[in-house]
Amino acid sequence: MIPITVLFINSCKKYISPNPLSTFSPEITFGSVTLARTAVMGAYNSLTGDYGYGIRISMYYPYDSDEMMGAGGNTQDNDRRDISRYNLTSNNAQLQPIMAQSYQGIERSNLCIYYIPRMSQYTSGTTMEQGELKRLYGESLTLRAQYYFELIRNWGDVPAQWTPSQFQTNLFLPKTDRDTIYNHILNDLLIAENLVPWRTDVGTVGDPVDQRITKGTVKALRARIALFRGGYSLRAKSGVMERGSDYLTYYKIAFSECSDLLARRDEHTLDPSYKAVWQTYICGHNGNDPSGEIMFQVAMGGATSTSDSKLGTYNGTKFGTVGGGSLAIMPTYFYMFDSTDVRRDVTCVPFETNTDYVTRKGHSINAIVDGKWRKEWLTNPAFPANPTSPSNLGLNWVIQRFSDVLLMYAEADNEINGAPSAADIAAVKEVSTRAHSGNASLVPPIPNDYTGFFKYIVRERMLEFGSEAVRKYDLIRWNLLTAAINETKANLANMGAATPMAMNPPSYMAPPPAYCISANLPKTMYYNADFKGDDSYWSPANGAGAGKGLWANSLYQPAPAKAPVDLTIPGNTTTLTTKVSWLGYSGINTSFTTIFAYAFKTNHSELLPYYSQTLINNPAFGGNNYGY
Amino acid sequence: MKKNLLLMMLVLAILFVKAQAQTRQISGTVIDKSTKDPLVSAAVTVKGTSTGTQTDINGKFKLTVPDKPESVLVFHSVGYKNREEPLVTSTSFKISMESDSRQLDEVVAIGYASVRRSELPGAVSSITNKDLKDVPTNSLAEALEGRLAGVQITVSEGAPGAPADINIRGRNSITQSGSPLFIVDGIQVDNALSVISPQDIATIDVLKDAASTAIYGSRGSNGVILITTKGGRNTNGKITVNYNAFVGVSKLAKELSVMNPYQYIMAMYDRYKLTGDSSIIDRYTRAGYNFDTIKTYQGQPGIDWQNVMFGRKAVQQTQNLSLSGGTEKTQFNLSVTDNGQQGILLGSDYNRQLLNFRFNQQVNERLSAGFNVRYSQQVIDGSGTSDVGGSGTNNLRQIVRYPPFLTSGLSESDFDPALYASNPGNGLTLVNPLQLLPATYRQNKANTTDINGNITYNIVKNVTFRSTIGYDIYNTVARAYNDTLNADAQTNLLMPTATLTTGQVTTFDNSNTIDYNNPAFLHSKGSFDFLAGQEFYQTDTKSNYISLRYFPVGLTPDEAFANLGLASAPPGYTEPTPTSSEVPVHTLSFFSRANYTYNERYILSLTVRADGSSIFGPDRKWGYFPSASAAWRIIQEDFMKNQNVFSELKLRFTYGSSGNNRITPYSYDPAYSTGKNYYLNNAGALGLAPGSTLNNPDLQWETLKSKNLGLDMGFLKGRIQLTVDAYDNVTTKLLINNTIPLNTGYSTQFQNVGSTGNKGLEFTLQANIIQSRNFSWNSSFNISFNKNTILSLGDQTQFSANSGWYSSSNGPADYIVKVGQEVGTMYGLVNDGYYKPSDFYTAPYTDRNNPWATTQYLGLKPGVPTSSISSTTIQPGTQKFKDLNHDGKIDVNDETVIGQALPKFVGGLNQTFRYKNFDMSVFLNFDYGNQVYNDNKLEFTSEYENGANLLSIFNNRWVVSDPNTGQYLQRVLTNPTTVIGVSPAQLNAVNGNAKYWIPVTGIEYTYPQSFAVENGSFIRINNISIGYTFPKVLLGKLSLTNFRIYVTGNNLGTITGYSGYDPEVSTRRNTTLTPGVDYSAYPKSRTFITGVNVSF
Repeated sequence: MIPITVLFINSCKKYISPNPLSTFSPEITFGSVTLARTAVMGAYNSLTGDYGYGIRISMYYPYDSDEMMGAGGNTQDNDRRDISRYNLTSNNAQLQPIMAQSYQGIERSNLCIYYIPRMSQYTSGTTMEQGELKRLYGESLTLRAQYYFELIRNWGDVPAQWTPSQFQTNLFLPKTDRDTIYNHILNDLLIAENLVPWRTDVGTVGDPVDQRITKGTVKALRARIALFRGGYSLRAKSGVMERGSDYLTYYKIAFSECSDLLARRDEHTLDPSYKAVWQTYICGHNGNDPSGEIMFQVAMGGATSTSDSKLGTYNGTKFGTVGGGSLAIMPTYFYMFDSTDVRRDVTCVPFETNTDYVTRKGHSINAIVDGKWRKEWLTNPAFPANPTSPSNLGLNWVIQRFSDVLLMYAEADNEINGAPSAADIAAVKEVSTRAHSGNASLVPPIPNDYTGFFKYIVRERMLEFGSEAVRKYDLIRWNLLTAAINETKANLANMGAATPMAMNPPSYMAPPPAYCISANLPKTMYYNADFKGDDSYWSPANGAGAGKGLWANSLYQPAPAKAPVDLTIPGNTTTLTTKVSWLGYSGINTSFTTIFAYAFKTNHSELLPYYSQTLINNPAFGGNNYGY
Repeated sequence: MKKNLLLMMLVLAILFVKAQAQTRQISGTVIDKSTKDPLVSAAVTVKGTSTGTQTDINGKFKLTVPDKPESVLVFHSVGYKNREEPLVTSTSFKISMESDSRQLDEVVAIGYASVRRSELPGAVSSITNKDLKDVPTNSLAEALEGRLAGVQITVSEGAPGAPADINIRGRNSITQSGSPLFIVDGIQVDNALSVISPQDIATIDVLKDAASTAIYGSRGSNGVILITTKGGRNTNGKITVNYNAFVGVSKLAKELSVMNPYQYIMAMYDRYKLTGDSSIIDRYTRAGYNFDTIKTYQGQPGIDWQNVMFGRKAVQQTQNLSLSGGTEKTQFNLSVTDNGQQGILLGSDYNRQLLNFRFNQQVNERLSAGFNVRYSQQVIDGSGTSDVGGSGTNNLRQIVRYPPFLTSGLSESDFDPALYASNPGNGLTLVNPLQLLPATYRQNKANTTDINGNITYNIVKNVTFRSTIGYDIYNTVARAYNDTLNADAQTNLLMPTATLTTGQVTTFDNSNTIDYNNPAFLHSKGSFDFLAGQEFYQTDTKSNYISLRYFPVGLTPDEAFANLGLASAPPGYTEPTPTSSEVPVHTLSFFSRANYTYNERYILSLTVRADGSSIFGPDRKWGYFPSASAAWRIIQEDFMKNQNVFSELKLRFTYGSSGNNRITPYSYDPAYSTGKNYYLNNAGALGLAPGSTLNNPDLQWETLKSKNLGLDMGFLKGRIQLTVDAYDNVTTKLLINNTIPLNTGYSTQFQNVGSTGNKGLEFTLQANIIQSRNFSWNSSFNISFNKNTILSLGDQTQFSANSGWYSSSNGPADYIVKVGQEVGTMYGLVNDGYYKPSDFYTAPYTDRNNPWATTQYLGLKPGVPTSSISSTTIQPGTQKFKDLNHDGKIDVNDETVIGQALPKFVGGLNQTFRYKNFDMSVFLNFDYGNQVYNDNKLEFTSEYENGANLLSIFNNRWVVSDPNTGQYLQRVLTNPTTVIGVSPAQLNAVNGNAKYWIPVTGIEYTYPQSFAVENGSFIRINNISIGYTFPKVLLGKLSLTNFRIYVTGNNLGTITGYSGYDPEVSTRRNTTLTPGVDYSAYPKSRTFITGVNVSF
């Protein structure tokens, strides 16, 4: 009788425990190297899409700054515009989903961090398996660091959770001081550095070359985070922007990491062409630049709102009838570049292009858009020929490039030693030389005193990283955002009025050449609508007044009294009627001056508020700070 | 295949029927002893056999009986004392029956058994085919609406085949389905409402209190609906053929009133004056926006798009043919139903074929067996008015808002590219609805095959074994094809897209019971019944989803689905990955019930059920659900012998528990699933990750504890019957998909944390008001009051829920779930009209560019709150809300409870009359005290969508330009932002009587607000039927036993204050948290039907 009973009970147990077929338990997922890899891909996936770097973090959050402005119009929309204008309340619905997705990425990383080192293959697998699992573990640590870093950049103190939620006895976590989190992730990255291979070594663990995290990524990210840890941030306790007295400790970490990277130029170095980074690799849907300049990028595709990006559709130039252009280049930024700096024409696009790729239409000075994700540059595939408006173009977001390493190296060393070394100057010069088509003689003179060098870097980073979501956060860690916004506002007003000077030289960074800010700048720009070519501009070499590029007159000289002749068609003598307003244009006021960062308040706007529902759902979170 | 099956069954049936004994024919009349009226539907049976018949409308019967003089005839009719009459050799009988309300011998199904209603201690509502016959409809849900006390049925919208929400005694669950358990002929059938024809139903019993549902422990907490389909009867081998058919037409019941061409042009002109955007008004006026040209639109005939799209007389037909009959040993019923129904919206059709075969055989004295085969197939064509879940693909918008006339040169069915381009990028493009409809192809097919069988074996005296086994396969195929005009194709290179979703749910159900039933237990005064049983129940849910993009332009949907390989991604693009899922769920149960009745006065019943479910984790699988009930038939007491008031008096009390496990299976375990790819080198590297719900190993059964106190009363010898039930239900360990802090990386977790309560009162009154030979009048009335309260949400006190009517992710939530409130609590701002000129400081103003302006409207005066939600500059006429927290700002902190979706009471009143051969029934149902979120109204009164027409109530709006001259009355200048206008007095002269604000041009029109919340109370003339039954004499000649013709009107009129199409609506059903949203619902129709019932 008893055996029958036992049998009966066992078969009952079996009957009510069928195998759940469509979901994998962690035991299955972390049972093989192949599936463990998919779990890490899942952790990467939270970087992508509308609530990741697809649009919100990359294009809503980093503005307004002295380089660019978020979605235009003077609408108070309790949405993306209010983020850019610093007119934020805790009820802005664009806050919660981004924070939620970042924590989703943290949880997915936490699961990998928990399970991967516990896999039997981690310690007793083949060399290849162990190598791959170490890489996966290191990647997970790095991803978690990136998610926390982005949270801290935007919100300051946030709850910190280091184990998967299923093992968490209390889900209602209070905020953790950002320094504690920073220290934790800096330490994690130190561990991760020794787990992941260099870019050229991924084959040793059986991996193809792709956009996954490598040793260079970890080191560069650690340097960046260290600079933020040592930089200024808005503190809840004091209510003001401040930095710790031990900040140099962290500059030293950044310097050390950058030094390591500079010693391995075989792994990561500058691509010879600034333009190629964007045109050939990013817009060419080619993730593998041979130089390894792109050290960390978010790989997006699949045309879904959870895996792709809206890069090039939300921002960027108009192509055919299809818009974009939600982000605006500040006219003041346009004139921060010297006339020979190739980064100006990669970053700033004052025109739109017809679908024939040749007919162009110049834009007024208040309608310059960013151009690194440029529809007409797209290849593999090209931008669709149909007059259609795809939401997603499969474009990747760039988190970090090698030029950042060079500039961080110089900045950290200058800070640590109180003056730049020859190596620091060389590093900055390398970045600027590339930006001047490799012609070092065109690089503006680099000061060798502490302050001058620092200000030079403040400008150089602005010129190098336009529209890469670097600027606002740099200004915050330097505690220069207030100055930058105020001076930009004043200069915008000057430009709108065109008197007496186009711009005052900025106090917080090195000024551009005098010809960029003089009252001589043109009030009208003529352009050749059927100019056939890429995006070359008027230059003195082509002859004044007789444009062979898009523009028919100089960007730095007063417009000619008489309209120039369209010389794109040989023998043509008709004068150009295609022209746009430039300096002194009232559009500068309506587009920028009256609305640019209008609600910015020092010691308030440097961080975002927590969303009201986030606080309601977690009473332990605590309330909002910083006057929100 | 279907035909062959049918034929086989027929042959089978006839073979059995052929086996007949020697018989003779008798006939007779049955009348009421006191009134001498004929008794209709009285049962006449031969005692100890299953031979029998019923009396007809004249109380007459004919019966073929075994030629045995010692046999006894038994006459039985509800409300009368049984009579027995020896058969002897008589061939004609005249029987008068004495009424006796004490014999309420209606049989009620209670789960695995049936009892007489008089012995029932629990709360059970019932309805029979007699009540349903007056409601010729294809929707069982519609047929049941308002007829059962304690059962609230809301059909979500007016589309044929639209799903219904059924709540028994309020909402117990908060985030999970409140749908009751459906048992059809002893087998669980989840989709019973759509796979059973109303014509095939014999009875429906609804178990409402936990003591009654406890026998179904698992999943019983939402109530249990037991459906018994029509079986065969002993007709002594005679086959009865019933043919029921009806045809009908449906018409749109109500149109929304929209602006006429002139009013529309005026609104567009004013929008241009407000925003400076002339792109729409340019189309209608000469360059320079000459106001005079607008006058020419006065009196211009318009196009009523609602009439164009919904205006057709939608035809429907239903035919139901059944063959039934049997002998003492063999009974069968075969029924075939064909429904064809057009929706009122062009291109929307519903077709359904059903087959139901029931067969019972007495194998020998101890063993009987039966089986039942059901097959149904259903096809729903057309995209309806909306795709649930988004506002982009919304046909209703186009139908209501497309400009009410055509620009010259365009015909009604032409595409208007300029208008289409007027709202780029936001998915709100205006497309001619006649064009959009065919570009949005939808077809949903479902078919069900259900085979079940049972055996009953009488082991020894009083002990019966019964086994039921059922196998059900439910297949669905949903096809969607989006042609180039559809928004989905727009974002995919202007190339058509298609999705193909197939699903299969297979269900296996096996129950085995053993029953000991002794009517004279221990001593003759007590009867005892003991049942013990066991049940296996398993479902296997599979689904496959294929989404394909980039079809070549110009295919028909059929061509596309026949050649899916035509979808081909251009270089650099990828097709989405197909997905599939497979979820097995097993449940094992043991149960037992004991009933003891003493002296027909005291009834005690104890039930216990144990359920083990694979939905819960290893140590939490089992749940135990005991219950007890008691009843006291006071009427049987000696002291009641000498009273004349009551003919029945029974007091019932039950206390019990039942369970619920309706959550996502396997939520106890962390689960990785697909769909999180990472696009390395532009190719999707497979990514797995957990979903948005955190696992919870501690999940266990939700438990409902229910108390029910009931009183059954009969008066005037049973002519009036009143049933009153009061209940108090508390659900604990409530399974909630609870919101958890975002630092967890998940949005929700299933938890057993909450508690809800439902208290209510139900009354059912049935009166046989007049009962005479030529005229009878019966009336039945039911009303149910329910009060739902959320008692606890665990660690939370509240969380919000977004119906997502506009867009699922953006915008503030419009519902709140809060302790102390009801489920379905609407949350939002309270409207406060608009800003008046007197709200502003003013200063004199002169400007040579705006010579008409005399006044500058400066800031708001103290005490006037600033609207933070307004995306445009606040000016006189801007929409305003109440600043409830008095902080001077109108924002999300001023939101409050603005409505409740659950009604305070619901009910129905049915009146049936018979005069000679005419019969008539009038059925009203009503809801009181609920609100509807009329989100249509928010959208249809906004001007966010440029060029869209508005509801005509907005003719009475604040205008910014003079309607007579077209001159500015007010204007916002930019740089710096300045509001200028004519003087306050002049502004008031034009706008002083305006009822509404300037139509909102920003996205904030979607903000939840009290303007959208309307009273949803209604009284509906649900159904009026008039029928005529041809006299028997006439029929005899045609060999017919019954011939009735009737006309019926369904949904004839609704008394309501609701301004939308229909107050009974719920279109955002993805989450159960947001009932009562009216957004792009398919409008309800009014139906006129004529039909016949024929029996041979």
